[in-house]
Amino acid sequence: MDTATATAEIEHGHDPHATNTGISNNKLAMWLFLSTECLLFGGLISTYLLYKTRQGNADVLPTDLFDIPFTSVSSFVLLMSSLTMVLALSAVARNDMERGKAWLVVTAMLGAVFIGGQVYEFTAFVREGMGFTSSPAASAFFTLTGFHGVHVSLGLVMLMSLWVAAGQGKLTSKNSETVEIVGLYWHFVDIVWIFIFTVIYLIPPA
Amino acid sequence: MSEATAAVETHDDTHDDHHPSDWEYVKIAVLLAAFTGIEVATYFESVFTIFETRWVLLTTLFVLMFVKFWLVARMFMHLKQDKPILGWSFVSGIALATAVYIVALAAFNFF
Repeated sequence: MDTATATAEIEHGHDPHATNTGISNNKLAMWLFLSTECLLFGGLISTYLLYKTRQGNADVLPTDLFDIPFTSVSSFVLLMSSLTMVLALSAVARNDMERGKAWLVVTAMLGAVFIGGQVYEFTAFVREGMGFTSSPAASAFFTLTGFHGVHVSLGLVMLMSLWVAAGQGKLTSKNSETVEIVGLYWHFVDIVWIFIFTVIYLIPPA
Repeated sequence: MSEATAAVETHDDTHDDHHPSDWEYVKIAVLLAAFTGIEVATYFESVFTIFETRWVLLTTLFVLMFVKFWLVARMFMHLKQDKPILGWSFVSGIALATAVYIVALAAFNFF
């Protein structure tokens, strides 16, 4: 399609890249994907709630080993990564690519700190005698938090891909929607942790 | 600049104007941090004795959780500025998951 035709179509309200909803297909697809992710995490959280007191032959339950001050710090780190993510998007949308790249790296670093905290927590639990197959409660806990950790790790890969693309000049304000879509995923992972932190860690057994 | 480019850039500028400023994002993050601080304070029941009462504890934690969820979704995920269909699609997923798993938990006598 030549420029003149495109201009004419836009002037008449027919943007050649427009969709029926007025939202790009990629963005809509990400929102629908996140919607389905609610079912995945809902299932994992429900399973943990059902199994959290099933000790099996193990000596300890996950709730006996929680280190709330430590998990609070890693939760805070993940929460703040949502701020740096949105600042990265804001910078890229302004075409301030240097600042955008810096915020992307900071976001990835905060995510890496969270993952490091999770690895430390898992290691401490195993040392205390609670492995993946120790009890139904342990299996449900490791599956839930492990799946969340995998999601954060995938987010790290996406963030670093954006950083590389920005370094190669492939990311500009014109395609800032790519950053927005990765940001949606990152914020969703944060939202899920907000839920997990309250329901799994903070609410004490009755 | 061609007219087509101008038209697209005008549209983009309008879209960006709706997003909060960086300073507003920082203010939201400060609020989120404060709410997280209150959540963590509930763990120290011996200091903040009000949280020894279970219904106070649960109400506080659930209200804070939903407020944090709402702030991130509405402001950081831009549901406030974006088309309502995105919010509805997300809320539909949450509502479906909540309904399905409440039924599942009830079937296993969780409540």
